[in-house]
Amino acid sequence: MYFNNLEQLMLMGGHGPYVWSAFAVTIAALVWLVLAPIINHRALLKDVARDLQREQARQASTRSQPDISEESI
Amino acid sequence: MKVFSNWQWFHRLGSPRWFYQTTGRWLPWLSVATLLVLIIGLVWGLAYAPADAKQGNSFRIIYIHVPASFLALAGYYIMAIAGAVGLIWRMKLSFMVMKAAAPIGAVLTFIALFTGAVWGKPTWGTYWVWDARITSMLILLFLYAGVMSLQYAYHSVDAASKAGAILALVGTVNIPIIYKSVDWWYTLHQPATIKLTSAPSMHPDMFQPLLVMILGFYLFYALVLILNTRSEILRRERKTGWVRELAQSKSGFDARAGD
Amino acid sequence: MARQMNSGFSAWLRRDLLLAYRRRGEVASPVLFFVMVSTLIPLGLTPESARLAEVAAGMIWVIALLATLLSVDGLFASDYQDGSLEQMLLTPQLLPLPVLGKITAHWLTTGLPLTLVSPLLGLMLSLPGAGYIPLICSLALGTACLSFLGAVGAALTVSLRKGGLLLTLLVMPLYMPVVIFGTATVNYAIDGFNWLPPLAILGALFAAAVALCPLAVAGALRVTASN
Repeated sequence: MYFNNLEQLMLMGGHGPYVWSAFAVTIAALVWLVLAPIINHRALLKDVARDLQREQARQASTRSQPDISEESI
Repeated sequence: MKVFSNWQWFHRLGSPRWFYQTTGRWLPWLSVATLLVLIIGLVWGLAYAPADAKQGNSFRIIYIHVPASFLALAGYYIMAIAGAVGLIWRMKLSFMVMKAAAPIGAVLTFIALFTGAVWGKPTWGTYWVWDARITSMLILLFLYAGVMSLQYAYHSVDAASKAGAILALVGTVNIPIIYKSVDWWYTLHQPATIKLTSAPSMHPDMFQPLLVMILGFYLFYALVLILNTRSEILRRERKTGWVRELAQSKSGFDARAGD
Repeated sequence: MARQMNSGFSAWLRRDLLLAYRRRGEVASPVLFFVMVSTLIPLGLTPESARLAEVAAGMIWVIALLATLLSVDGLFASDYQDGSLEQMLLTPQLLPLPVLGKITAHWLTTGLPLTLVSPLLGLMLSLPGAGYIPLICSLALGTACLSFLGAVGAALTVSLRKGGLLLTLLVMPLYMPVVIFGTATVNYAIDGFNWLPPLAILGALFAAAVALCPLAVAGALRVTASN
């Protein structure tokens, strides 16, 4: 390692705040870039599944009781 | 028949479903590789590379600033090429890639600007300098913002894709002109500033971690582009049979786990 | 064939000029904007002529850019609303030619008046004497570039209800080289250098814009206007 100990690594000869804040913001932004599509992907799949379930429930209800169709709302 | 089979890969490549399924197999490998390379690069650059003689330890910001700037610019070309392919061959998948590329490029441009500003404080004494490179980056951010907001403004997916692609292509023609003119403008005003360490004069001990970080950012870009494209595929193909089947099979597990 | 091609250009040029003549008030507004904003500069900055002279060239250029940007929004908007844009898309002529005619008309009704008024603003902002001819030359060429680039943005946003603000976002980054070389032309002349090189680059930008922008506008209109 270039630094003698962990404390010097944190301080970086007085430049620590700049270096570490730059790296922290970058890593936060990169993590967000990865997480955003994963969350989005999951939400979309759930959304499609919910639509499907609703559709199936509506089909089932109209098949058995054609009069009560407002209930599904 | 032979001609047909030669072109089959191209048609398959245009199929969102094929892309979704194939990249699904790649993702685990790609994410592990990306994480590994980035961690090696970060630890090497932060803890093991020697400090710069003039700038001290603040120069370590180069390990994220330069790769982010590289990919911010390359990302615009990737976006524009995807848009052009979509316009020429009417390939739906290509438009999805284009839409997926815009926010990644914008965030990378922001990272380049932010790290540049933080780097500027110990180096130049101020956070913001109207330096040629920083100014060009800022204009690049505006270009990304334009493509993104144009795509969001249209309700029709088709119009949004095509309008965005045209704007991206216009931007591509303009980027070299903008960069050259900003460069020229900067030399005209000749402010007294410290020149940043440029790559060829760098010591190999400093340069090697930079190469690792650039590779890591390229891998990261590929990973996020694939992730973004996959969720864009789901959004646009949600009415199709294969997406419905996929959702059903996934939610089956979820429902049981939830209960 | 050549005559037919020419008619697509000149017919739309003549039509737009006639329309502009009928709506003279609208045509005057970019020029009024140009003059009024210039009045704000001494009020906001300083009335001292020495300090005004330093920033005059840049200020006149930036205001001219904003004035063009305000007017370019209407380039296709009224045609889109009254359906004549769709007619233009259906004509058998090459679409870039009528587009070229419309952009030329736009420059004749905004860029040219701005250029002609600019010496007056130069006087008001105490622009040094050597700067006037370069200012007129650079504005004449530069506002033409702005009209061409602005037309691309206008075509991309024509069918959007609130396209005006978006248009400025799309077009502003593309305007930056024009401003750089436009102000450089004037400042070179003031500082006693040969001001023809930056003006020549502005000319090159103009040539590229004439060649490429009508194509981009035509492509954009086919996508957006039918939507």
